[in-house]
Amino acid sequence: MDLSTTIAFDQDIYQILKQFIKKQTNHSKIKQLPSEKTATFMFEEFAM
Amino acid sequence: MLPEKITFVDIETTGLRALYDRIIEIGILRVENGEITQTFQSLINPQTYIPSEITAITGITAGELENAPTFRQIKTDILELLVDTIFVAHNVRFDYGFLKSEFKRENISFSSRHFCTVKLSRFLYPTYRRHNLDAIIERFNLSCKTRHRAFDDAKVLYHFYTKLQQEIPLEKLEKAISHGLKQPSLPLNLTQDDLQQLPEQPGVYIFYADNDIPLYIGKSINIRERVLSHFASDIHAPFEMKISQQIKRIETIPTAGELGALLLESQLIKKLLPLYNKMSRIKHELISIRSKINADGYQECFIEPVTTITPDDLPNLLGVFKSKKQAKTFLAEIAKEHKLCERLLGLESASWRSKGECFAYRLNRCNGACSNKENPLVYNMRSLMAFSKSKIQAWPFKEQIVIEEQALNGTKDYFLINNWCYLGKITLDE
Repeated sequence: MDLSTTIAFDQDIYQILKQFIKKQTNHSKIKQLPSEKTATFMFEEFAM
Repeated sequence: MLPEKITFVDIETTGLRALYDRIIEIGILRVENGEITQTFQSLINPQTYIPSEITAITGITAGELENAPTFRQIKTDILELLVDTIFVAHNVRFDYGFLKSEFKRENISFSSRHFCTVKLSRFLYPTYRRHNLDAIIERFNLSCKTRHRAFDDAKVLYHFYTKLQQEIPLEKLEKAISHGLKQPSLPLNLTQDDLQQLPEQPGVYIFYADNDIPLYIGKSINIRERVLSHFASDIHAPFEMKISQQIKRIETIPTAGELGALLLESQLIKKLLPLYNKMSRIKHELISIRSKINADGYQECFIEPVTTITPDDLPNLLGVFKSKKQAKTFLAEIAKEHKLCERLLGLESASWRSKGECFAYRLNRCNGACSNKENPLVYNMRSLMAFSKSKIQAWPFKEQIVIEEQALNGTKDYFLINNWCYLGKITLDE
């Protein structure tokens, strides 16, 4: 797994995500993760 | 049946870019039913600078070109030779592209069927690795009086074609030429196999030049289709032409879907800094417009350079721009459109700052927030509305999210995202 340790805003990534979330495709799905678990833990759990 | 009328063409130029560089020499042999019927050769005054490396390769000096005719002066002679023939050259995209550009400068729309002797050689002799003109001269024991001179090189092509007629069965040669007339030309250093192996799925592709220097990074939902489109249009596009001339290999990184390709492309461009992704690869120092409520309760704006933005910055961030000029232009536009106070937006010159109302107020272009004549709540609300199109959107989810993309083969990519920041991904093969 390639997980960044810092959160940095990137203008290009912002534009990509904004447009992608707006027009979600049939080949993708979005799942929100609850805050009580750490991102990394939930990420692994979701993917497994 | 073999084509009846063929012109074998070679040119020397001041560089590789058909739109900007110029032809300095042309050599043409017009062949009808196997016999040379007309020839033409001329130096051409490019009316521009001749780089020393071009003189080193061709031996053509600026002094020799000074009294040579311009393309305009010989365009009719060239057109008469090329009309109704099939245009043949070694790496035809180069010669054909340059001639098209020269004619276009003369308001002549030149178009001709053409095929490439590199491609012909590749098709007929697939076991050989090298198909450049020197390799062909050596392989077929051809003679060339002076290499890198247009007429002598064009003559080599004619002799190569004649050799093929002697060595290759007619049916096979016809098939090869017919194939060549239909297919877009491959870059000189790539093989048909290189293209055949490209995956037909989403992902990122990287073009490399000599010494693995990255030339260009692109993404597509169909890598193969997109890469082929680069080479189909290179005759017309100087950018594609440059890539075709320099490319040595292609690396592909398939992804499960489009989002993976977009994110990976953006990351790789910043990491590898390819030569021809100029706009995206520049690491701009971003310029932000931030807000702060002043002592009178009005929202004031500040333009500040910024290297990183954290999610905590987002509430006060009114916009992110690639330059200070772009940020100021935006502020000037919304000041005019929404009658916002130029002083509070940070646009007013220092000399006016000590005075009561701002200059725009005197011109009736400001509602008076600068001198407490407008209710701060009303002004701040109007200001927020004006910045709605530049402000980074609020994160539309409660917490972090995972986006799953699935490829047709079952492979899944999972992307962890929070507050518009991409945290990482994992890939699971089915």
